[in-house]
Amino acid sequence: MSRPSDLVQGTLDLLILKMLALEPLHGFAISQRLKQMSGDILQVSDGSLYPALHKLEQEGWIEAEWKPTENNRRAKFYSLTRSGKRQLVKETESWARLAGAISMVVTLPEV
Amino acid sequence: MTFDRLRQIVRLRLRSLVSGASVDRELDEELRYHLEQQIDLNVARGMTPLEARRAALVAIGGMRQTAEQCRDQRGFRGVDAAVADTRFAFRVLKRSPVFAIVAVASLALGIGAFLAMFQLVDAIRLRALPVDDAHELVEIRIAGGRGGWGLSDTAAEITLPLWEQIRAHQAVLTDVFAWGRSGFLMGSGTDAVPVRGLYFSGGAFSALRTQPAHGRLLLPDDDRPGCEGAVVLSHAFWQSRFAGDRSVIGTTITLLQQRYPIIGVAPPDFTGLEVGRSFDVALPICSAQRIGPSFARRDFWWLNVMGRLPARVSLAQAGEHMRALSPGLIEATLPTGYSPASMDTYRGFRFTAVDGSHGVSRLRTAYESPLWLLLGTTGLILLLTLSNLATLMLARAHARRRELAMLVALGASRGRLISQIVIEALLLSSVGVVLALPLAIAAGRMLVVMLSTEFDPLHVALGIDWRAAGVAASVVVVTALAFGLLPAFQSSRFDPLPVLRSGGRSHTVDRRRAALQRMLVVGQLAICFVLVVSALLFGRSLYNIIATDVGFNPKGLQVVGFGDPIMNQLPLAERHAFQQLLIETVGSTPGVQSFGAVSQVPLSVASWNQAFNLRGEAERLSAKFTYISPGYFQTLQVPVRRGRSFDANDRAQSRPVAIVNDAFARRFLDGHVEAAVIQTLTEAGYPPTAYEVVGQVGNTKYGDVREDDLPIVYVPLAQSPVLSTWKSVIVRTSLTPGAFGAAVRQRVKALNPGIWVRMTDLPAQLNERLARERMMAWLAGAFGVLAVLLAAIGLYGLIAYLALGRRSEIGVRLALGATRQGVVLMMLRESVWLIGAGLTAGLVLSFLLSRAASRLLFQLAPTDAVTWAGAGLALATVAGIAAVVPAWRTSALDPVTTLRAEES
Repeated sequence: MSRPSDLVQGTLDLLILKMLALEPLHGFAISQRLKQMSGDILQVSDGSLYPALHKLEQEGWIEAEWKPTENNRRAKFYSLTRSGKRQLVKETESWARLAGAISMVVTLPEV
Repeated sequence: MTFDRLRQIVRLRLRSLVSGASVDRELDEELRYHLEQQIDLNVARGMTPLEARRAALVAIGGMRQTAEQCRDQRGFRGVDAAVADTRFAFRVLKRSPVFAIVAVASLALGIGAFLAMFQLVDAIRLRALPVDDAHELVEIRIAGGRGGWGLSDTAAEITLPLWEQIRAHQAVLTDVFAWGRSGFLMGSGTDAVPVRGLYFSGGAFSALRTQPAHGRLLLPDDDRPGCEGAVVLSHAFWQSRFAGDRSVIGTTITLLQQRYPIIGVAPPDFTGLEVGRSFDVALPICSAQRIGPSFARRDFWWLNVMGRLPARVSLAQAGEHMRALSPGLIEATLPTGYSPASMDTYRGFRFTAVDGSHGVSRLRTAYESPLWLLLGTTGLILLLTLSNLATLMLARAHARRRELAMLVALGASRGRLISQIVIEALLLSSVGVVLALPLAIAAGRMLVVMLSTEFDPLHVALGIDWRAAGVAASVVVVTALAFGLLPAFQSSRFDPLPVLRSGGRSHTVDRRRAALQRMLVVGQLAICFVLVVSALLFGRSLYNIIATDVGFNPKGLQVVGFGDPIMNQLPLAERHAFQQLLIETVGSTPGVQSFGAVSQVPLSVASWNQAFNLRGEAERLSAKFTYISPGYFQTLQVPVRRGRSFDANDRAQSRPVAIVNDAFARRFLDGHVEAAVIQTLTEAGYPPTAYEVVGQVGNTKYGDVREDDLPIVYVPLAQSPVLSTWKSVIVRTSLTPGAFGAAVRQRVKALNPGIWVRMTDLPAQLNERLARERMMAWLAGAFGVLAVLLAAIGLYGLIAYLALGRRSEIGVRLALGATRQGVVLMMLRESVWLIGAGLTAGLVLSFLLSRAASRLLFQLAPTDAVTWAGAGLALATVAGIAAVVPAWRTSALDPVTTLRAEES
């Protein structure tokens, strides 16, 4: 599997969940949004986005619906489920803990 | 996990499982949408359409690959893969039908043979009686058996007085009951037909928790002294004799001249408590009293006693309880008329309790070790089949390695490759088992027919029960793993690049893989050697038995036996006269060349031991005593060595005389026959008598062809002290059994219509008594041939495979001027080593296994040198041919063709 090595394991899931918490989106929109939001710092390849989406759907955290897009094409829109919202809270907390811990370690004054 | 989430997960998994195609279509559409949007975006950013498309594809990482990864996220991915692999396996096998047919056929044969033997072992040894809670059943018997003490014609262990004592005094078992086997005659006189009967104590059916199919079964009230008797029919007998007519209940049936009411029909699965033997009619034990007083004798063993063991009591405790009770039970039932030594034996009897859940079986005693041996043999055959298939699969995997390399290059994981090969193996073995089942059922039935004899029909409930089905299922799995995993691991462990580059033809075969195959072939030859040795041993053993001199000429001998319930009512003097008349009536039938009457027909089950002293000596001796009429030796063509034969002057009142056989003269008289006197000792019903020896005759086999010649004393029939049964008449005639039987029946009927006649063709009976040896010889022979065939296929396959790998090398050799013979010899050098190693291993293996067969062989050591040499020679010959053919075929190749194929 070709997950980008610079993306911490599970971070992609968290980003997708966070994005879908704002509004339902289709795959291409998520891909675009990821690039914009992170200012091209997070290089998420489209090849790993779709497997991740399907995994989250299988886990029951997001659900999909075919809907027309703004330019009137049919696309698969993903939205957060109730258990997905709970999962987002959980993952956000653990991310905060992890990030806090790492930042604490790396900002320790060097003696 | 919330309910909603669970529901979604289940819905999605089911959807991808059931309608995988539409899920795949959606996935395609989703990815295509993404791709199109990305291309549009790229074009808008100024790329050419072609560049835009390429960039979009690179970003998504290839449509196929991404779709595959998305699919991997779904549940039931393993199932999907298995379904696809199975389809693929079908296609692959269809491409090589010869391989598939050989594999499936040899598997079907191997598994079929194994299952057939397993069914028989299962039915005779493993399966419990078809009775509720059969595990509770225990049998009460004399520890170590009664050693032939007293009177009996069955393997029964208890007398009626002992049963009454046990019932009254034992306090450990619940539901104790007794049962005994007995033959009956249904109808009357000459027209009577024999039926198989069982006696049951009144509580037997409720103890066994058996429910009637119709009417009622025997109740405690049916079994009381002086009872009228009642008959329960077996379901099979009710069907065959009364066409399943329910109105037969309430009517009467005539058995041994007595009329009994029919009260009910037993359920279909109840065939009594003896495995391998069913019954026609069941009567209460008390009704035996109506047939004769001997059933109540203290020395007549005709019952078996069983009971249920309560959960809180162990078998050992029950046995100890019975042991402690024994002296009291024994003292209360001491027989009379026996010598002090015999009485001491009787007093020494102690009861014990043994597991009765599998019933009682004479069959088990006779066939248990042959059946386990044959099951082991079929196990070896199965092993042979498996290693053969492993060899074939290995060779195939090698031949297919280009295809496998392609799969690896296309990204198939090693696990996927292994599962592909294992699924192929599973498919083969499943088809093999499916074909093996009918084969096993048919073979099992054939075995039962082979073991059944006219006098001893075998009733075994064969069938594929859960145990056999479990064995079959585990055989499928083990088989597939055994011959699938090995090649799978071997062939998935390679670098695809050189294989693809060489165009699928390498100069030499991978050495390690060939080593594995060589080991397999050596193992096959070793197993094969064991099986060929066993085939030859059992074949020669059967020949030895058939060639054994029984001491008389059985050809043309027919035995006439009589049954007659009125005999006991005649006074002794009249019995002698009537007996004489009966013998003369049979003997004077037209077509009879000579005839003689005898108390124990040779090689029948009848036997009579008598204790005696030689005059002037105190030592207590024992020998077989047989009572014969004057024509006996002449009819059987037994040579008279010394002195005279009996004649009409040897009457009841004349001087008691005896003739002894060679074995008796050698063992007891040191050859000094003249003037010896045999003083018999008291046995019940046989008063002591001094017999003067007047002659000596040749040995005849007594009970069994396999026995040594036993010492026999012949006494004139007229001087026999007992006449409780009519003696059999043996005649020598050129008439067919059918014609002679009809003539005799007619003449006996004219004399007295109340007498029943049983005819036996002696040669046929002798043949039947060899059923076990014949079965062993035939089966061992068939398995031996099968084994040789399988080993030959294995060796042929290996040599052909090795030759294939050396084609280019051989091409070069031939091009450089090597002769064809030289090439063949070079390839054969390898085979000679293999065959030599296989035979050596087989020799060791046979030696280790030979002890298992020693008890089943007649006048043959299991390590018989001639047999082993023969087996080695036969196997080496077949293996040599199997090796030469592919070598010769390879050497016939045109070197130009092989070398050109190498370059392309």
